[in-house]
Amino acid sequence: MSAQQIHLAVLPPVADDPGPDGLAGLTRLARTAERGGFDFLLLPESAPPGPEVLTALGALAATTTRLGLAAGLGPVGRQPYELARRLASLDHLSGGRAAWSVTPGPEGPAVGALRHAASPPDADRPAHAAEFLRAARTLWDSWAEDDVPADPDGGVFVRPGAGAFTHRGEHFALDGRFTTPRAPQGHPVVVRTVASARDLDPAAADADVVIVPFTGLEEARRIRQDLAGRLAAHGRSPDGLRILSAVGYALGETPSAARDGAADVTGTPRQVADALTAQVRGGGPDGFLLTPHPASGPLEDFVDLVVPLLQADGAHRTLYAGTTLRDHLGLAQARRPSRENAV
Amino acid sequence: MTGPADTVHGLPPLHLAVALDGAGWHPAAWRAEGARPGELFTAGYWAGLVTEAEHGLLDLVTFEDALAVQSVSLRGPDERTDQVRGRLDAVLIASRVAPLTSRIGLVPTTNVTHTEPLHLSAALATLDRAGHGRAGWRPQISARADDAAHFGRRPPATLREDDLGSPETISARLAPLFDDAAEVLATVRRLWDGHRPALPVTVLAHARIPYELAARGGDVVFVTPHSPADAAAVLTEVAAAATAVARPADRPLKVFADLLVLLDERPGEAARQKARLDDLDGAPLASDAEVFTGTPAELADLLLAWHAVDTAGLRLDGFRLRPARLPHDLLAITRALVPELQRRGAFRTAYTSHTLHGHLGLPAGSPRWA
Repeated sequence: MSAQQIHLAVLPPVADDPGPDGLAGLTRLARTAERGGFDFLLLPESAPPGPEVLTALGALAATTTRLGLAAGLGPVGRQPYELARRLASLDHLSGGRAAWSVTPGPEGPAVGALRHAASPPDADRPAHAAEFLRAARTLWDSWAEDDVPADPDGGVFVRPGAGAFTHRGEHFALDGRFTTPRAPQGHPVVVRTVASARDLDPAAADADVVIVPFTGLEEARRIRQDLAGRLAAHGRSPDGLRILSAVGYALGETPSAARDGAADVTGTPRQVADALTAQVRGGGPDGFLLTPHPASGPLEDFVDLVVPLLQADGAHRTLYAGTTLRDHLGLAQARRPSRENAV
Repeated sequence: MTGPADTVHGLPPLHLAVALDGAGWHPAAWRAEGARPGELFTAGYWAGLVTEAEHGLLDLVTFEDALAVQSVSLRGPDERTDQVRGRLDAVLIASRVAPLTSRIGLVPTTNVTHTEPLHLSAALATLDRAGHGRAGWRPQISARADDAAHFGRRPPATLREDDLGSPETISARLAPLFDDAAEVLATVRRLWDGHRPALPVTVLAHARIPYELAARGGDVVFVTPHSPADAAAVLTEVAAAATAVARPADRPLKVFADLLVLLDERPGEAARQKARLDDLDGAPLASDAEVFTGTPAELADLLLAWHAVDTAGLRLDGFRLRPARLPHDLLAITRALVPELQRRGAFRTAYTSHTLHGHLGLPAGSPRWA
């Protein structure tokens, strides 16, 4: 594979009424994305009757085998211990396909309905989210890869001290033993969305994938350079972050049939494939998060009409080479500090 | 169609549940023959167990859970390395197996002391959607200081040494936690008002205060009698609790007796196996539930004898069996005990419903809760 590969992900539309068919619509979408060789599906948080994100992804882990499963969840009103545990559980139960998209989180009534609410003031939210994620990483690192020998002959199931953790910070002071052994990916993939310039630095500090708004190629290059500088400032390799551009697209049989002023990329499948490829090969994003747009049509159309063109150009996988989401994204397994260093 | 139990045995249908936990309920189960200790944190392990339970036509499986790592001490983590430590989230295990099964009820345990009703209700409603009406819930309180520290909180109540004598004294000390749990159950049910029918709620209870929690917010109570006479006494106490909290008469509370079981077709072999595991663990198996060792046919005798207990019209509706060793004792349940009960006309020979409400004979509507 010499040509640069386009990473693809999809954001499903929020269903107002889930209907009587359980999670069938979501399941169909996930299977279509997997058929198209997508890296992941990002399920955003929605109020009931929308599905609870992690529970729905747990079910999708059974009906897909390779697709990454990203949970869009905000830290506000949540606890690092519980969320880290659920994300690590999803990573185990999906064979290393879990991701957490750190979203700004619920506002207003949703927060007011919480029993244990300790919602930070708006100005503190970025710092709160960053500390929440640090605490989650501490929990994910609390078990070493070899902490569960499960050796019946030697009579050793677990190594002493497995799961011990301490976190002290502005918003959280936690300690104890984490319940969930080290996840297949080490840490689930962390996704952050950049909506404005002030979101760039948090993303460069702690994300594995950053979602940026769709722009022209020049601006996309500038964003990449900006992020590269920030990554270096945080002591991170430029190769440790994948940049996906959130794109609304519209497909048509002919260029005029696809005309839709509100979509970011419009045209025939050939035109859309070329536009996406040009951005990635021109030094813009690493790929795209396909976002719902009224003119997009079903994801089947993209997978049936655009993906084969990308594949023919050598710009998109025809088979998943690996099994975990980190494999798909070309990201290294999260490494744990050795126990000697950690304690 | 009514079950054969109505015609042959003359008793109401027997309900059977299995409680899944790690490698099984014996602390040395992971060292038993056929155990899969290296797979406890994989989807395939749980999928295999639940599909097996479904082949046995069981009403439901429960999934144990706790926020704290397993420990022999109530106070906090121990340093035992020779027992299973570590868990996956029970709701996620249940949702992971939901699409792989089609009939069996899926009942995860969740903590209600430190979690949010808003999040719990949404997760459980989603599980019910993933399972097309097969989800249930087992709320559980926690008084452990280490659970509180995981959330940066102070322990909500602290057990003292002299509380530990009996379930009555423990639950008296923890009464504020049970009140708190009742509020969580009520909140979750309110949030489920848009979800019909509400999910069946199950409560494990050993004393009056938790019986009242079950009677206030539950559909099924799991109890731990140790003999038929004890079962009669527990049934009377549960009925008194239902009266005390003014539970409506048209919403009978189903009562399941828990039993921890080691089974083997060879007479005497299950007891020998238990002794071997006790030796490995360094202590005799201790449980809140009655421990049964014997053949599947002997267990069938016991279940039918307990099921026949009738005290002023009160009866056990069924049993929740805790397999000491997985998958061994689960297989003995599904492949030997169930056929034995079927031969005696005491258990269904096919599922007659697609939902957990249907299996349990609960009304399908969404009763409004006070």
